[in-house]
Amino acid sequence: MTGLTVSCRRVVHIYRAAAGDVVALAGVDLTIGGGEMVALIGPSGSGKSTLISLLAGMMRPSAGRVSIGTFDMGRLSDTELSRLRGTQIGVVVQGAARNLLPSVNLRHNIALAQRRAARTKGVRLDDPDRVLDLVGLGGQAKARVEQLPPGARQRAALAVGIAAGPGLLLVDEPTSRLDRAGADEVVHALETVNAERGTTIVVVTHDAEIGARLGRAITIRDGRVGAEGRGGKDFAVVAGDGTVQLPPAVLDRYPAGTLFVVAEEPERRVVLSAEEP
Amino acid sequence: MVGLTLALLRAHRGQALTVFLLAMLAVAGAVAAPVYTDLAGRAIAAADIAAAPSNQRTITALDGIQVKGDPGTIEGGMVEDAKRRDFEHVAPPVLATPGFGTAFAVAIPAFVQTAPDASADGRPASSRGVGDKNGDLEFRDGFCERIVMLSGRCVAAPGEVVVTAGRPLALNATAFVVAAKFVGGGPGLPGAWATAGDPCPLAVVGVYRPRDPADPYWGRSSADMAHSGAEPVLADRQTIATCDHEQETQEVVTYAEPGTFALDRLDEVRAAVVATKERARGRVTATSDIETLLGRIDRDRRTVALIPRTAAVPLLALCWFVLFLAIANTTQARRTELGMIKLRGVSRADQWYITAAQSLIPVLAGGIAGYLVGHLASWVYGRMAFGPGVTAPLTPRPWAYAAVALGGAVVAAAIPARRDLSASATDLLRQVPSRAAAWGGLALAGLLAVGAAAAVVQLRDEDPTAGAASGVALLAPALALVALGLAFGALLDPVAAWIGARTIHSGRIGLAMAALHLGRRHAGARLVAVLVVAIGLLTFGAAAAEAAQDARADQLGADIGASQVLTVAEVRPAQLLRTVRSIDPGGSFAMAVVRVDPAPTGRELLAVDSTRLARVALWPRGNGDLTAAAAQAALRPATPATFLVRGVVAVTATIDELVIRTPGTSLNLWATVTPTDGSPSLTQDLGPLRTGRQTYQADFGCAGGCRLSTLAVAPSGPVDGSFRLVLNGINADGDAVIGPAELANWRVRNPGVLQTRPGADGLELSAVSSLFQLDKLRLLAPDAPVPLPVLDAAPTIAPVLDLANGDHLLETRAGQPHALPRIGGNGALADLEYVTRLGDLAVPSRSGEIWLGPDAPADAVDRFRAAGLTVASVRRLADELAVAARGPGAAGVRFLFVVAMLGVVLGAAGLVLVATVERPNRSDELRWLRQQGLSRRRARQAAVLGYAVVVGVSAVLGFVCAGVVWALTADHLPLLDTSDPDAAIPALPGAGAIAVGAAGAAAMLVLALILSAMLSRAVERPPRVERSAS
Repeated sequence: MTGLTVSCRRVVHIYRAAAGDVVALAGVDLTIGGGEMVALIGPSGSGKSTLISLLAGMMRPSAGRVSIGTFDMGRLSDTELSRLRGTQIGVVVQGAARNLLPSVNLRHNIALAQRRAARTKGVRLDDPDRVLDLVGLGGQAKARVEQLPPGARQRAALAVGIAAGPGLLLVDEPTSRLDRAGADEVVHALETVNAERGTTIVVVTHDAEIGARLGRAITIRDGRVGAEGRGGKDFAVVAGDGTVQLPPAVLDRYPAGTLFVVAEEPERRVVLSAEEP
Repeated sequence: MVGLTLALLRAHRGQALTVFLLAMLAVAGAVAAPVYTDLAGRAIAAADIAAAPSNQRTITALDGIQVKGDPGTIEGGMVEDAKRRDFEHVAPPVLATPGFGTAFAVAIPAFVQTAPDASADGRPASSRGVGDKNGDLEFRDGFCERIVMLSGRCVAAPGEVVVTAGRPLALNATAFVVAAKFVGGGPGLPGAWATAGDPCPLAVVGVYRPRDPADPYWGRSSADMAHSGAEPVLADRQTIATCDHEQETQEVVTYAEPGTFALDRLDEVRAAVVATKERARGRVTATSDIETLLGRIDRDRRTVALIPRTAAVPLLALCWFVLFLAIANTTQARRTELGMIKLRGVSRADQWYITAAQSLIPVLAGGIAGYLVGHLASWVYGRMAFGPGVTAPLTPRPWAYAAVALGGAVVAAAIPARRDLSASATDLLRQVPSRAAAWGGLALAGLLAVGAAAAVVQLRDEDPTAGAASGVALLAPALALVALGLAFGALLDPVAAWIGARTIHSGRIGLAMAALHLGRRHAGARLVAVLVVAIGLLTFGAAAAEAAQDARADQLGADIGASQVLTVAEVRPAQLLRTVRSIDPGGSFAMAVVRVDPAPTGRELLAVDSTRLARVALWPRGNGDLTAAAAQAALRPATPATFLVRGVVAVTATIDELVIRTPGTSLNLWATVTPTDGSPSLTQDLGPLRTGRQTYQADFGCAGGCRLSTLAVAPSGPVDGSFRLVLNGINADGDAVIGPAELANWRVRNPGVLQTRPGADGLELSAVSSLFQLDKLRLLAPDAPVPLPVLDAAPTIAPVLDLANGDHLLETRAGQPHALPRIGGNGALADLEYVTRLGDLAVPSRSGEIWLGPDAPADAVDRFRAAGLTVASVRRLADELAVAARGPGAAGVRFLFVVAMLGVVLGAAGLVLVATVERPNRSDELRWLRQQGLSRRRARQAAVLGYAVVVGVSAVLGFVCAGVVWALTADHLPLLDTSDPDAAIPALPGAGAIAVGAAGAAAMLVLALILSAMLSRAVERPPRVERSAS
């Protein structure tokens, strides 16, 4: 299975809260190529987890389009979305315990995750031991969740996420509450999966180092793609509606309402000059 | 997937076991109802059959044969043709019935004598009189197998007989059997037995006793077999034929074999009996009351079936509800798991399987176990209740009940799963509560309320006098309890939230936390519903048992008359009275009673020592203000003291006028005294009346003391005349003791002919008659009221009590009770002492009794025996209550009570379940609050009050619900197994029922406190801290 592409076009998601409607995503434009590893970074409440949920088909966008491979997620039925999650999209939610049945061993957890794919024609599944090997938990098939240290639990959660051999793996905060060593183990496992299977991996994280290590980090700010980091460089991103978010440090000096003159110059340069009218 | 399911079951084995047990209990309860009903029906049928008289277990044909003599002889109304002897050959095959044996018998009425001319007790034959016919000479097919030889052997040849030990005929003696015939008789005319043949010498080869005197095989001889000394003398057929006799009675009895009246065969038996009677029509006269027995069995079985079916419903409802509670709570706790499963894209079918299998597998396993346990428990309980002889085979009938119970359990298990399976993975992972939960419960409560209301209306519309309630109406109490329980449960959330808000503002933190916690959980509302139904059902069941027990006790008490009734053989009423009073002078526990033999057209009179009536007798209900004490006072008006004499009685009288127109006759003055020991009265002639002031006397020689009862003017023969005299005084033993003033109280026995007028000199008596009659010229001593006060439950027109000895007592109605002890609504009650003073009851009565009240000492019977009384039998209310407790209605109510107890167990199970499931989260909550400064005392309060208040409030509401449901339904339910039309069901549950309900609630409260203590201890443990990465 090669990695699935991810495409978001002006994705908006609004949900109703007690205090009123909340705009979780305010027009996300995003493209992730097949086999890429991408980190979604941003402060709490920026919309990262909401975006992951939309990519996983656990919610539907209020507006815009989310495409996973050739699938328009907004047009699929619940049954089709469920089937997709069972075969082509792996999801690892935040908190290892919420990804694993605590009362059964890892083999059974993986078997459960593979159940849908096992009934799908043309899908070849790895043995649970092989899956565990991939995440560095070889030989632990009979272990139960409470017997594993936190780092291993998170890797077990990853194993369940990749058990069905998905083309896209969505991981929410895989290294939270882990120390450096544990986090490294998890990232290493992700890299191994990506390398061996070509799985597209999207990781939600607070940790910028994780983002740097994954090679591409997309910053979500205020429900939109604010910036991207690639190859050690930070980029501002032009949104689908033509807006560009200024980096926070710049925004501090030029608050909302500041007028810029935009001048395009040769060699793909655009100059923004703040002016008083 | 199987491996995963088993792993999940193992991991949640606590819940699996709970669900297994609840499903098992539900199915067991549902199965137990029909199985118990079957067992109870068999036991009651067996009891009905065992208690049935012989004619209800046999088909009998009789024929009186005139062997010789006048063919026109009348015997009991039968006119026989001497030539008709084919009955012996025709009747047996006609009456042969499947499942029944047939026996031919022939009997000759006879005098059984020890010598040719002497009766069995040695009296000369010439002294023989009515009733001296002392047995039958009888042959019956196969009788040797039906008797037990006490000595000797059974008959083997003609000329041999076997007798019972009650006859004064020894082994190897010769019995002289003289055939008898009944002569005379007819409507109103006495008859007598006379000899009808030569003495037939027969060798006594054995002494026997019947193997079973009640065996229907014995047919018309059954009654004799039950009376010692009256059993027939048994011989072979040829002996009967050769003994000289004029009349014989031939009988063919078709008797039920053991097992014929098996419950499963009753319809066959009914059909066979009908066919036999049809076949016999026109050929022999067959009589049988088997259909009466079968009808009674059917009625009793219907009665016993009613209550268990009704009782099983609330038990089922509780089981389902607690099962739902168990699964809903754990499903709530495992929403994250289900969200996780949904996240993995598992198909809907697999989601159902994984989620539901954890509940359904133990439910199904529990159902199978419950089917077996239900049978086993019913058999064990039936064995305890009805004895080891009652069994019921495994039948498919309970399967339907089991299927319903299991179906309900499956639905109860599936509903929580369905709700969560329809939720999204996101909601499940985020633990967003289901919105459907709240109003789903209200919808169910509403539906049940409508059903309950309809059932109650139908129940109350049914005419209770037309028979028991049926159908949906019987479910009214169960539905009403469950609906009320759900309604009160639904109120918990808002009320608890309100209390929480109020108390938190007032600073009562512990109570506030408990209330707020209750108000936020649906489990609290469900728990309240379960506990309300459990306590309500327990109270209702206890009230039903109490009402049934009270009604039985009331009816049996009224039927028997007292706590114990001793039958005393052959005792004079006055002697009985005196003996009882000597043993119990204070009147605290014993009362002499005599059933005065009525004349054929008279009504029954129960003469009681009414000075003890209120303390001893069990007074029937329905008599309004006429209590036992009021009856006692009414029957014993005050009278002057008894006048006792020991020797000479001298009566001084002045006769002004004496006209006797019949020559050779005279009018004499007579006096009658009655010995105080109850011996027969003594009457003496004081001499013929003479004009002028004279003293008339006689020596009665009554050393023990005699009561002067009567003065009479009696003719020496039929006389025409008149007289007027003044009784001036009566002197006994030389002392003037009755003067003119006292004489004024003396009354005429039967006013009419004898006129009296009190005066200064004495009591003037005058009479004019063309034919003086003794009984009309009697003056009665004033120590007994005339007319005699009676309490008459069935008043007649003529206020006269007719006695069998020809006496007539004037009576006055002192009250009209609805029912009297023992005799019910048919008869009268009078004071025994007054009756003995007024009537001639010196003849020993066969109907003497001693009634003992509840305060009788344990050795009371021995005391009476030691005083010389022959206590023939003792009848105890407690024993008869024990027997009645095995009756059909009692069996049903008992099942209801057992079910109610199980309901409490279920309520406790629900409480444990809720506490166990929520303990981890609740203890975490309270622990973190403790860490933030909440005091230990307040944390403990929050833990304790939550459960204790739920149990306490539920108990009170349970009592209320039980009271409401009882008031609405109880008097229309077949709770009372009594034929007493006055039997009433109390308007509300009695104190005993409340006490039982309170005991159940107290047990729950103790459990709640234990669970609270466990929670408090968990709170004080250090919190779980997740370790950091290795």
